[in-house]
Amino acid sequence: MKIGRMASISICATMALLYPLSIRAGEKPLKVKIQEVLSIGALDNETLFQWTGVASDIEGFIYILDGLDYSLKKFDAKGQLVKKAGGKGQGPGEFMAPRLLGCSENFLYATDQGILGISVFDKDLRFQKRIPFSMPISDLFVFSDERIAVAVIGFQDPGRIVVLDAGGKVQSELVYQNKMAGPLMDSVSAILDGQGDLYLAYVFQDKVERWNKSGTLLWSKDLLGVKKVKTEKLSGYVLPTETCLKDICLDHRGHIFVLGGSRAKNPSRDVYVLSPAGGLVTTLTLPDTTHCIYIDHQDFMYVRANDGITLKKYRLIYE
Amino acid sequence: MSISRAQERNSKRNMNPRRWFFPLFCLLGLWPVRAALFICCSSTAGDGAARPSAISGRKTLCLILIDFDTFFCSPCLAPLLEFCQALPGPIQEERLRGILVYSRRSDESEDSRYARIVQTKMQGFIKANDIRFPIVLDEHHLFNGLLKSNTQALLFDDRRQVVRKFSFPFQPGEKSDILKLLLSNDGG
Repeated sequence: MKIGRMASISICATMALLYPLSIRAGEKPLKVKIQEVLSIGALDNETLFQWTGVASDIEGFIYILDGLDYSLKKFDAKGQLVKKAGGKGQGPGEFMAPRLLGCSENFLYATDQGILGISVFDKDLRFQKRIPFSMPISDLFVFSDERIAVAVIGFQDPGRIVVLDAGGKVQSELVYQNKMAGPLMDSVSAILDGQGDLYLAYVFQDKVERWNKSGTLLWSKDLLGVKKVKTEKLSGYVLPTETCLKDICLDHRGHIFVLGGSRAKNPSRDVYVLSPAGGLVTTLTLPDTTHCIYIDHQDFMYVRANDGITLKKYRLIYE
Repeated sequence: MSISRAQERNSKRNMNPRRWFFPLFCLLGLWPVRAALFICCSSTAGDGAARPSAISGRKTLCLILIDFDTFFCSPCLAPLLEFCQALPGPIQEERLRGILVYSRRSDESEDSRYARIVQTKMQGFIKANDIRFPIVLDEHHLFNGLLKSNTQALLFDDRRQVVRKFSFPFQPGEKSDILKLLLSNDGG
């Protein structure tokens, strides 16, 4: 593991075609560059094998879920492994297919595709409890030690966002689709801003939405020009086999970062930057494919490289 | 082909993989089955009939062609792991070998880089799942054509002197039959 070579990977290609769009939307044209500041895991070491979820805390520690060795790992700000926990199984603190990770002031919250509920760890990776939740989760957002939100995968019912307390009791719920578009078609990545507004990126539909905390849709945008994704019949269900938008996050200027999926021009590499009003500001293309993007409290962006063996941390540079 | 750490560990225990793979390749069609079994089991056909087989005698062996894509799908990987866990470590070391098969990348340099990615992931897989048998990488894509879909087990059934192919997940009854043969010491 080593600190990245500070190689300025300025691939912020503000596409000429996109300028007119942003100007029409009344947005100030913006360029966003990325500069590598840290790299964890490499092809010649066994630090990471297939990382899935990432979170960082205010002290600069980086927490990573690794799907191939069923673990939760803690790294310091320089990328040195501090501690590792987990192991294969369904017992307390164990994983079968770890996926999403969130961080509050004192706790870490991890989901697992093979285990229902949300596992809670302290910052020293000691297992605390499992918050009961009976539905599969497509995204996770942590407000505080006492409150988290999850996006529920819509398989037979329309997808929804559920806010839970620390004990797993439902506090509120937002159903963002009145009618189900099909199994999994309502799956979203979700993020909330400081005002409580909700931003959704649909995984299998070309749609980004902003909702206010009262449950009113403020705007809805398409980014790729995709009408419908390919589907396949599996075990009696018609399931999507292409992705439109894979992840969504916010920086501290209120910009919305949306990762394009398999239907993007550069699959799993294009990141669309939107203004709070939904105007497309710019697009940047990552050097390697990633399954997620994560922006921390200091506006550093974390993405995947080498098929999950490497985590890259980039500084976002605005011009 | 690259040799995994598990393989190196086993080599130290006088489990040279060449002893395994040469006869196994023979069984895949290069040599007659009987000749391959002769080499593999270090005993003659006549010996097998004349005296009871000991642990060092003729044994059923299993070559597992592991589809790398299953690494990304835990339900797909589960049947293979359940099968491995049903076999004690020494039996895994003695009777199982694995080949990790992955799809070829379009250009050579990308394929070479991807081989390193696959190899690193393989190390994680071996460690995390306590895999005790050696697994090697199909770096030259020799087995891509053979592995049409899903992970497969090629069972070198010494009792019947045939090679049998099974796909994961096994059909009802197949797993117990295979385990019975692999756990048996009497030439099965």
